[in-house]
Amino acid sequence: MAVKNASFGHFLLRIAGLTGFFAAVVGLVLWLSIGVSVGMIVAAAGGALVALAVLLDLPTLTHGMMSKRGAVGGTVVLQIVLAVVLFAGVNVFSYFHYTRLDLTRDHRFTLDQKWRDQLAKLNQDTKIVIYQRHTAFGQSPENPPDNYDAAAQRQIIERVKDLAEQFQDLGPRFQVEVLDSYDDSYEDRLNRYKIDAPQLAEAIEAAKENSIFFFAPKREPAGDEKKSKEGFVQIISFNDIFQLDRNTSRGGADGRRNLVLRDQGVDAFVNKVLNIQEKRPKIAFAVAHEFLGVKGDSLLWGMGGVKKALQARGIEFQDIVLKKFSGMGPPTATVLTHDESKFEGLEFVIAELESAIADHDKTIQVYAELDKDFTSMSLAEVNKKYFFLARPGRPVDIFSESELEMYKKDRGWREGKDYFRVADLRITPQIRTAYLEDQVAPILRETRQLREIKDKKLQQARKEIKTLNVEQLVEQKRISDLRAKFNTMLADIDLLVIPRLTLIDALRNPPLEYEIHKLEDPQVAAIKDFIKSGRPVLFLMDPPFERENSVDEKGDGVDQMLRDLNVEMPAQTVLFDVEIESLIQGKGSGLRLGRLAEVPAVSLDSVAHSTPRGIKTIAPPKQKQPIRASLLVAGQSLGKDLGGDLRLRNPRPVYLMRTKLDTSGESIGGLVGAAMSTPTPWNLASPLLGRARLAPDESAVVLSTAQEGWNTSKPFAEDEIPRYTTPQADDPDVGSWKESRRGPFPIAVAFETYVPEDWVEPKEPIRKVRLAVIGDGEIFKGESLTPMRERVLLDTSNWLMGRDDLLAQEVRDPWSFLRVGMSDSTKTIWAWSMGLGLPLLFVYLGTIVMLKRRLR
Amino acid sequence: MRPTLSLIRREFTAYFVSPIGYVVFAVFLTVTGYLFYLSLELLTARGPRGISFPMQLIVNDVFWLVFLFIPPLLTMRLFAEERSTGTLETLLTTPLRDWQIVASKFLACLLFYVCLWIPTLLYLPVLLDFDWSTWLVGVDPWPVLTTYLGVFLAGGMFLALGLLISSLVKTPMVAALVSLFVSLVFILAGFWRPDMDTSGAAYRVLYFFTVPLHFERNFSRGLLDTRQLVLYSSLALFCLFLTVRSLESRRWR
Repeated sequence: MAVKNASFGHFLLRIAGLTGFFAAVVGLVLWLSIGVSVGMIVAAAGGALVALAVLLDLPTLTHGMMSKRGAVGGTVVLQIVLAVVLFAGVNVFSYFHYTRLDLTRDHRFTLDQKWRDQLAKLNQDTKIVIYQRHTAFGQSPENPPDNYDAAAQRQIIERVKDLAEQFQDLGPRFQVEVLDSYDDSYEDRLNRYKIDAPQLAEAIEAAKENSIFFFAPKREPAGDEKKSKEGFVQIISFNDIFQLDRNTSRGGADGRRNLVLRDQGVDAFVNKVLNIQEKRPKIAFAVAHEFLGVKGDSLLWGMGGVKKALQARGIEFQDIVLKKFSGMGPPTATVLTHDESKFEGLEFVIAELESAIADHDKTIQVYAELDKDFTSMSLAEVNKKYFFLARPGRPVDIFSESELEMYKKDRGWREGKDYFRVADLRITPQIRTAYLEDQVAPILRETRQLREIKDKKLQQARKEIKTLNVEQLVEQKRISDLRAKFNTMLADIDLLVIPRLTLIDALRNPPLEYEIHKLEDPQVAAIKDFIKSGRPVLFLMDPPFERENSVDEKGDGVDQMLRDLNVEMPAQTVLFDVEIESLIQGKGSGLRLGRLAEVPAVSLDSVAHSTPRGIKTIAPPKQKQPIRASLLVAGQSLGKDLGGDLRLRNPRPVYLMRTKLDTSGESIGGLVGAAMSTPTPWNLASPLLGRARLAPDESAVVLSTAQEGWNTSKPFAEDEIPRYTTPQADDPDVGSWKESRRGPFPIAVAFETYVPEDWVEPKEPIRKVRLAVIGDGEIFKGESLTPMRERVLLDTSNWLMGRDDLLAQEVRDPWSFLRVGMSDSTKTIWAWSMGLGLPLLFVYLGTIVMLKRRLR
Repeated sequence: MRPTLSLIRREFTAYFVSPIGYVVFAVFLTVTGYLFYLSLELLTARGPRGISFPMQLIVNDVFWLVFLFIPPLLTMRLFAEERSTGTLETLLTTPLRDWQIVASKFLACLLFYVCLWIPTLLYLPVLLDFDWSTWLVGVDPWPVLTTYLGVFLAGGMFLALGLLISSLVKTPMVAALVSLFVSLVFILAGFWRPDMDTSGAAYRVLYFFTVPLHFERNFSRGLLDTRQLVLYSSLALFCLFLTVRSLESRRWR
């Protein structure tokens, strides 16, 4: 019995120890994984129970160990414990010290050593969020993603996962999450970001397409353990990693469909991680009116599409308004931010509304008094207070003395000239009733309604003005030095865009006068200062058409600035044959303006541009201008269905003139002296090498028109329909830029050059600067941009700001799924023989073995 | 050495004289054959369907679901059956040391497991896009080699685990069930895919011992991760060591 009791006690003790062990495990999980504080208590209690059980069981264990059998068993237990420790130790060590050997032929899972070295130095925690919005670049509700996009998306996610794994090999600093907008938990996860990383959530919400976000929290000062919610956000589109080549995917040269992706390399991705703390780029748009800007509310004239595109890419922007339009006079030069311009406009509106409301109040007061008098006074009293007044060209009306006094005072009425008292007429009961019903009541009603409307507008304007930082704006308004103010506003700007819009379908609409875009000298000087500092400018230049469709060849300081930089822009536009055909057909069918024809797409392939007779271009380059190459890849990626073609109406030819050695020995003009205006090392060396002259540089051309068009300085169809005629030999324009000729024309150039020597002070450094000129002021106009226009904006901006890694690269050997060439019959043989033949063979062998066994 | 070889031969041939070996072969090749057919479909597909690493599909989730049953089937009888039929005592009295018995049974079993894979080499001309005229392959062969290395090591691990369990229980059926249950630990997480927060401790721990993930991310794509090589080898050795100790315990218990 005693033995039984002892065994039962022993059993209970071990049960207690086991329970304690499980309690400790559960407690630890609750405490460490879920963060429930009770878990700590449970774990401690469990641990204590285990310790107690072991302690109480120790005599039994010791007794067992002391016996002969126990000694052997003890040794074995010890061996097993040591083996467990060894096994665990080896694996823990390998868990923390591991190597991944990439045995693939092309080492596709190995980061370049230069990136590994740089990433290894990084000690910032980085969260990488792969955001699947299920919309690729260029897609819209009208062009939803198809199975190619879905497949491309899966591949890109795989690619990013691989990259993340390679990053994690360098340390656990990189956290990767996939956020799928179709996922049930999407809202919850986004809300969590809104709490933990509001900037990241904001960027995700602004994204228009599948993107990858990089977030690094700002570091708090030493001692502050609270993790900051603020941080740095960088964005990269899926497209920047892989470009889907739709055309080739849907059946390339061999007609076999596959998924063809152009791998853009990891540089852009890794750069985002390495430069996560980099300031977000900021672009300023210097416009003539706030309506023409990015932040403008105008659907017709504004650049709302640019705003959306830049926001989605995490690029900051601001408008700088350079003209002030007040009243009917000509606009005056100014330098205002969008808010300042809006503030000024609102101030003006408020003043106007207040004045109008005051007028309405006076009218209401007069007629209300009249109404009261006419209804409450006797007829004699009415006739005493009111009288008839005649005014030249106006019907006789009833006035009171006080009313007349008001007009005399406010409007300077004079008796005998502006009015006459009609003493003979008296107000009768019939006149009184009719006057009250036909005159006073309607006027009071209408005026009160008008006052109410204007009051609402006034309240709205006051509400809007309250959203602005009025104090700061008032302070800024005090700065009267335009150049200094412009320079201050450009201080943190990485790229300046100068849009000059004059033409919107020249065949049908008169031009917006170029005059409104012209800048004063201080404004031009500030732009020059910006360029001199080595920062890039993008010019969007429509032809300089003025009132009555005249042309201002000379332009303003900005035009001169471009001439200094050797950019030749004839005051012309390009009309396409198809536009004229459409116009003629329309007129023939009774439509005065015809139908709006679709102009030919811009060419991104290498073309020989049209030049005036006697002017030869510098030999075409071996490599395309990087923006042009990137746009070409983007166009192929989008395909025609997704707007992979760019169509520009009324573009302006743009030529970049560079020095070229005159090997023919002929002197055509534009000799060394002219060429020396830009002191590039080439220019400096050219006098030593031989005679040089300026010639259009094809290597700088980004966009070219199609061949089916011609240049003209008279694109308006008001009097007669513009037509192309081949110029005669004696035409004075022949040999000059005015010479009428057929396309293709270069309509955009982007280049790197030295700042002209005569712009800088003697001791000032001559910097290199990237500039781009697009001969189309309306390319980025509108509430939304077509995919290719957006691409032109992003690629041009990125190249100008030195973010070359974000430009699409031409890939000679694109990625695609493995394919094995095999006929259908061969495939069937393989499938059946391996899928069924082999298993059946072993079933057959097994059956033989069984039969043989039965035979025995 | 000779007795050891004899034991290996006896154990190895036992697989071929019993129907179970052929059943395992048939089931295994049916599954891999089906996966080969799927790979073939993708390799000859048109449109945005396809595959970058053919072996990734051969060792996908379906494969592991079936594979789960193979090591228990191969190992369940090794000790448990001997014990249930009473032949284990006879075996232990032979002039073989315990470790030699364990090693022989393990090697025989491993050899049979290798034989299971040999017919799959017939898939390779297609999976590697072999050109019979030039004797060159159109597809990178390394992912195939690393996959075969992976399945060899992982197989060794699961077989060692099954051997250990077989040595601990009395009947083959119990051995198979327990072995299946324990093997699940290394495979189950492969079917449950957590959100890819790859830095999360949960994911990293799961990833560390989930065999299907190792194959999906590494072996089938031509990558060798030392963590997995160490885990498979060390666990196999550890299990074999415990099996020896398990046999030994019969002497002093």
